Amino acid sequence: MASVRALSRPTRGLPLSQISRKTSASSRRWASSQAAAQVPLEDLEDSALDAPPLSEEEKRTFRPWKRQADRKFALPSGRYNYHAPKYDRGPLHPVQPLSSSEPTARDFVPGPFNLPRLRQTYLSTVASDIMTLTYSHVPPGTPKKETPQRLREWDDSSPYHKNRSLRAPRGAPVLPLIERDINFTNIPEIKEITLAAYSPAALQDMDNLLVARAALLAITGVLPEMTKTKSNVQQWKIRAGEFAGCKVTVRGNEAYEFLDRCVNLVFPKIKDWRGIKASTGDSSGNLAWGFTPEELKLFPEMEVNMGMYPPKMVPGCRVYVKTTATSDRQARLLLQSMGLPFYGEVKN
Amino acid sequence: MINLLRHFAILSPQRIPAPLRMARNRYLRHWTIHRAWLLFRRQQREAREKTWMRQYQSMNRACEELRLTSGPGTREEGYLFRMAMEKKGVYGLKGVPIEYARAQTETPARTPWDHEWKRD
Repeated sequence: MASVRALSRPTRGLPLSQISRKTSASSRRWASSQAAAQVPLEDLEDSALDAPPLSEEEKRTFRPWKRQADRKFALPSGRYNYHAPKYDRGPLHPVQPLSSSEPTARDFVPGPFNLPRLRQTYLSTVASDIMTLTYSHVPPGTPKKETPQRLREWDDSSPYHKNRSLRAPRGAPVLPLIERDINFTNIPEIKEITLAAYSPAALQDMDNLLVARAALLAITGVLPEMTKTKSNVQQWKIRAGEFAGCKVTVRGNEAYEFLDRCVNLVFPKIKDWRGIKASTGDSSGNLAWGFTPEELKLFPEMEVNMGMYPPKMVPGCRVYVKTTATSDRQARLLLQSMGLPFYGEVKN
Repeated sequence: MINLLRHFAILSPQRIPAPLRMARNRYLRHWTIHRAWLLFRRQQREAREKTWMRQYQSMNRACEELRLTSGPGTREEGYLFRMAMEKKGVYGLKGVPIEYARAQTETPARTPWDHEWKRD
């Protein structure tokens, strides 16, 4: 069939015996037909050009322009003319934005196109190893451990204390998580990584902010959002509510890729690097470290285009790794098994 | 600076290209492939979770067996279980050897770890 398709169009209507006689008679070789004969692939879809030939009678009566002229109403267009709405107008508006998985949505991103090797390692090996390492057996029939009440209750010294909600603990605005035992449903994994750069020099010269944004954009591949200063400090010459930094959050595959680059490309190049301080962490399974400007320049994305960044304007940045672990030691175990060494004193 | 400004001008929201426009057949093709991809991912995830569940349950069964056995020798019941539940150094800073933390590749090195390496 492929050889038939390779023939020129007028000969296709002829019966096969004629064709074979003709081709065998001529000794000319066609490079394209030979290539087609070698490739065993068929077209995925039937070609619309393969219609049966029309008879003379049919050809005479086939007049589409006449039908078009005689038609009283216009046919709907053959193309699908739907446009995704440009703005999200809230959950109550009748026009809703498409789901981002729809290819015609405005925020549609094709992919994923690869499986990061760190993620592959995690899923195939690290996850079950962590589960096995930290397994602690609870004999059947053991009574369940009570969760302690960490919020402060009101002493009923006043009648107004009735039905009041409980107070937060002293000194801490947020409750740290209580550690849960790891089982097969809650093996810790990396949720997202946030990079934040603060360049107070941007208050004097906005170019600093531009460089900071460009650096974070190059490193993560995601456009960073700008952050404002929170407080007025005269000595540091900062005023509240002015743009002085930027931050960016990467999730999923990008987070694994970023961590892979840190572990294999950046950390080994840092001079006299001992590891990450073991005292890091918010006791809820989120660890952090920092890059100085010199260390930030070691990222390969920055190195290839070092001329673009004015050397004194490149900021340092802080890196927050958020995990689904419920305690710092579980998060440390996860990151250690991905190649991040820790040193120093352990806090929690 | 001019380079950087141009860099961000390209990325500004005004420059974001129009959404894709697909006719019926092309859309249906995409939709079919997308559903198949979701199904494939779901199957993979469920297989993974099933494996983890089986591993967990067999650990549980083995530990229960250990807890109820006595020995070796004249040891009392549950000695082996207590030994198995000792988690010495698991959460320590040397808990995971650095050699373990090698990302898996399709083309691993012939010598997995160069222990003789010294900084110059």
